[in-house]
Amino acid sequence: MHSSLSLPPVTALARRSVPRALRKLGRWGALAWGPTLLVAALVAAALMLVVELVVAPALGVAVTVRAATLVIGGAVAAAAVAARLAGGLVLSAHLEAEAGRRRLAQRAEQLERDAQRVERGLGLEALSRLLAHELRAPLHALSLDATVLERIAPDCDPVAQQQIRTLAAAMRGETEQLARLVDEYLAYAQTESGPLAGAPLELARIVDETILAHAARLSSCGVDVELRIDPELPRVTGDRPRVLLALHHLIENAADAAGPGGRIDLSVGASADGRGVDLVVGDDGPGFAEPSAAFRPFYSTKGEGAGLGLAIVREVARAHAGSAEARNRADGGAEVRLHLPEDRGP
Amino acid sequence: MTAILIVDDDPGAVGALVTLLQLDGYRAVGLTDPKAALARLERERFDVVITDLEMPGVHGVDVARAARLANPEAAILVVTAYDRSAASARALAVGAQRVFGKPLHYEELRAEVERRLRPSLVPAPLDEEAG
Repeated sequence: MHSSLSLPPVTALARRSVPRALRKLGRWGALAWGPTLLVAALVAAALMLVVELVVAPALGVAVTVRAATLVIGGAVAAAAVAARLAGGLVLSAHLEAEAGRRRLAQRAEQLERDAQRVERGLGLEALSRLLAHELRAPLHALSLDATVLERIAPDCDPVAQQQIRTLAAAMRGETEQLARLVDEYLAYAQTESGPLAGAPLELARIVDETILAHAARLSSCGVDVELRIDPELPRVTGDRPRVLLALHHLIENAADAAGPGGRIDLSVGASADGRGVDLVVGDDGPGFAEPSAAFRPFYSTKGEGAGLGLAIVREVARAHAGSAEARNRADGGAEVRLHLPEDRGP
Repeated sequence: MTAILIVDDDPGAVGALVTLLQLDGYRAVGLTDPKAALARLERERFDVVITDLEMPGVHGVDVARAARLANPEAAILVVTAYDRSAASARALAVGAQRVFGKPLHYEELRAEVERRLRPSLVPAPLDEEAG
């Protein structure tokens, strides 16, 4: 590979002295010039010889041969120049090709780096799933063992029975909590990697579905839901499962904050700047202790839960080139706004 | 007596599940080697087959398929750590009827087994306990 970009002299000569028209012929055109010139010169020389021999034999053969030699010599020289010119153009084309190859190699290196990043991302997802499996399998065995203990407790004396039952119930509760943690972590890890689907989102439908999925739990906990969906919404494309997941966590969080007898409100409408849709979920609970820390992973003031819900919401927002904000309301309670940008089309 | 086959490469999980099903009155056989399970399915008739998916050597989907071929009326259930994977969908496509995630609520599994077995139960004599 050429390490320097200085052009050989013949190319410089060609570039300096050859008119544009000739260079436009390109190296193949220039190459064709050589033979063409040679042939033309030979033909001219032959014609001259014929003229000499026929028209003016008095000049003598020597003079005629000399004249012919001059002409042929000139033609050969011209052909040589043309050939060198063509060679120069071939060389410069070769150098351009080299530069092009270099650019291509750089591009290929960049593509490989990008591909490695995707692979790492996918590797992270695969690793997370593997971890989830490695955790879920022993939790499964533990949970079953605890169930067995509960079932054989009656074989023991009443005191032992009571102890065993209590312990077994505690074990099952803890394995369930750990399983929830694994679920949340896996959901969080998956929002950071994997391809994002891009289909039109029917946000009204998505919200309806999520509310329906939570309806039983909300009513049994005594939480009221107020829902407002604007009929005219800007077009938003995105990944339906991820948006469902984000909504799920928004509603869970709000319901937990509102508590029994409380209320949550959900509104879906065009965002204030008119360039997307805002999904706002609010509650009448105590509000955020630290709104700026709300989206931090594992930040949770609740006893249970892993503290990943809002981190997941933010990751889903980012994956859609949107945003998520948390704030406390002036008249009490908290609010989280998930903004999804409008899809303006190709 | 209803015969249930449990297949999972985790001996702890298999042991506990076999114990629980036996306590509930079923004849339960537990195997940690899916190859052995395939061989067993050819020799013996099972009314219920409960299988894990990710196992070394033979995938649970193949166990589910073999179980369905061996007994078209068997109840085939899957218990797996990856309950929302393509493999789970595949298992349902080849004949499994329901997928449970790990960790499992034993009571849910038992309820499903009872539900699936009920239609095929010959009406029990009055002095014998059903199930």
